[in-house]
Order: sequence, then structure tokens, then C-alpha cells
Amino acid sequence: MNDKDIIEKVLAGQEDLFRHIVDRYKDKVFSIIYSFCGYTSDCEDIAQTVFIKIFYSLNKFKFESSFSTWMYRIVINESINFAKKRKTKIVSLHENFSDDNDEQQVIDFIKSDDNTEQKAIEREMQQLVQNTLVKLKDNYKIILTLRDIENFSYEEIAQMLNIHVDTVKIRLFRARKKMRELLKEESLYEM
Amino acid sequence: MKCENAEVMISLHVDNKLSLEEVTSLMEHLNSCKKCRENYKDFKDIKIVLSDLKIPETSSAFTDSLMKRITDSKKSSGIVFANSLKKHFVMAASFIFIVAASVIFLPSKTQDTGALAEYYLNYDQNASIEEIYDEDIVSFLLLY
Repeated sequence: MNDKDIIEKVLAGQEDLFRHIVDRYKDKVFSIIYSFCGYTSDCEDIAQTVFIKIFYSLNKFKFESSFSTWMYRIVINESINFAKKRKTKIVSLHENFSDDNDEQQVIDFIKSDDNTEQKAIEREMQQLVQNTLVKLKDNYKIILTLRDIENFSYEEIAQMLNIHVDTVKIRLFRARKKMRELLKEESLYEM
Repeated sequence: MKCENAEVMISLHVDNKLSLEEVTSLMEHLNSCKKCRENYKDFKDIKIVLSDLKIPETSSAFTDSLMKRITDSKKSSGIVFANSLKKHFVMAASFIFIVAASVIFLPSKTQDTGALAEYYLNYDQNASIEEIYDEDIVSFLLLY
């Protein structure tokens, strides 16, 4: 069943079918929120709240455009709102693990093979990039998330953000340039 | 090629958005410009690291828990799509009733205003029947 069929049925009263939409898009929606809102532990709760907003907005969907484009617009707007509301708290990925898991992680780390050092560098780099990403201004953060993390095409991004494809190209360039600048600053600071 | 142009081309190249001709032109510039070569490496690294970011999956209970929240919120707010349709139906019915009532009652009311006009005409001999009649119809319509 395609998205539009499901939505028509949901609007006609078969509301439980909305779970198919959730299952279809939850990972991407979660990923956008997770990247955008600063890797905090309540991202799942925010993702659910966004889906609830989408559910109650279904009767505003015009069936003229793609449902996913319409839905991602809501996700992007809500992510921006959430990030603004709480002034984006930056925490490490490790906050998602409990103390017990931390201990296990250390054991795994010690037991790991000769790639240990390389893995440690990669992990550190990821951490640095994540922390830098959330420091970017919204326009840059969202375009990098959509393109480099979620792998949406230029055309899809243009539709979601309601901008021209050429603007996507330029904005991506500027976002990468800014990201590079901040990473350089962070690297110097850490040294 | 100028470095400013090369920078934009580099960003497009890491997304494989350049034609063969453009790639050749960019490579020629990169061969002769150390700064742009560094930019190219950095842009490529940023893209690789971002695309490899480990984003945790949603929990297995995500969908069930979300559907429960939707059900609970509907119970507390009373919002249901079927109910919203009913609401629209009630609004439409109310509108039709008002229009029908206006059509039915307007002639009888104008007859009443005719009598009223007679009264006012006796009260103010200077006023014409048409003037008083029109004023009362306007007053009647304003009530709605």
C-alpha cells in the first residue's frame, strides 16, 4: 500500500494504519532529529512528538505533492523549533549508554584487535564532527544532514526546503566550508 | 580556473555532480593549486565522516508507544478525524438552517414591517412609507 492510500484510509477512520507510515519513515525522521537537535537522549521522545504532529496535520495534506516531502518539511520545521526551545545541549554519544554499558565498552575496547588505535581515531573524529555539526547555523546544519547523512538528492532537498536546486548547491558548498573552518578551529583548540 | 570557482566545483565533485569535462578542468586546477587540493581532501573527509556517523536506531517499542500516545491524546482532546467530519457536517447543517430560516421568515417579517410602517407614518406624517419600510428591513437584516 503506498503512502497516499494509507493516508486516505487513516483520514477515513482507520487510524491504526498510521503505524505503517511510522514504520516506513521512523529511522529517517529519527536520524534528522538526532543530527539536528544535538544528540541528546530525548530524541526518541521528540521524534514521537513530531509524528503526533504529522498525524494531526494529515487532513492538511493536499495529495498534490509527495507525502514524504510534505512530511519532511514538518520534521525539519519541528526540529528547528525543538533546537531553539532548549538551546541545543551538546552531549556525547556515550550518554546514550548506561554506566554498566560503559564498563563493557572499555572491556571491548581493550580486547579489540590491532585496529584499536585506528578505531579510536575514527571515534574521536566522529565525535568532533557531531559536535561541530550542531554548532552550525540551522540552514547549514539541515542541508548537511539531508545530503551527507541522509543521502537525499539535490532535487529532493530543493523540494523539502522549497528552494531552487542551484541554491542547494551553493548552500551545501557554504555549509561544508563553514564546517571545515569550525573543524580546523576545534582541532587547534584541542591541540 | 579561479580558486573561488574551484571551491564550489569541489563541493559538487564530492557529490558526483560534475560532468566529465568539468572534472577534467577541476583536476587540472588541483594539480597546480595546493590550497584547493587541501580543500578537496577536507570536503571529501567531511562527507565521509558525516555519511558514516553512527546514528542509533529507534527502540523496538517506538511505533507501539507512539500509537498509544496518539490514542491517549485523542481521548484527552476528543480530536478524531471522524469527529472533525461530524463537526463540519454540523456547521454546514447550521448554515443551511439559517439560510432557510431567513427565506421563510423574511416575507412575513416584511409584512410586519408594513404594519409598523403604517404606525410610524401616523406618528411622523413627514416620513414616506418607503423610507420607514427600508429602515426596518435593514434593522431586521442587521439582527442576523
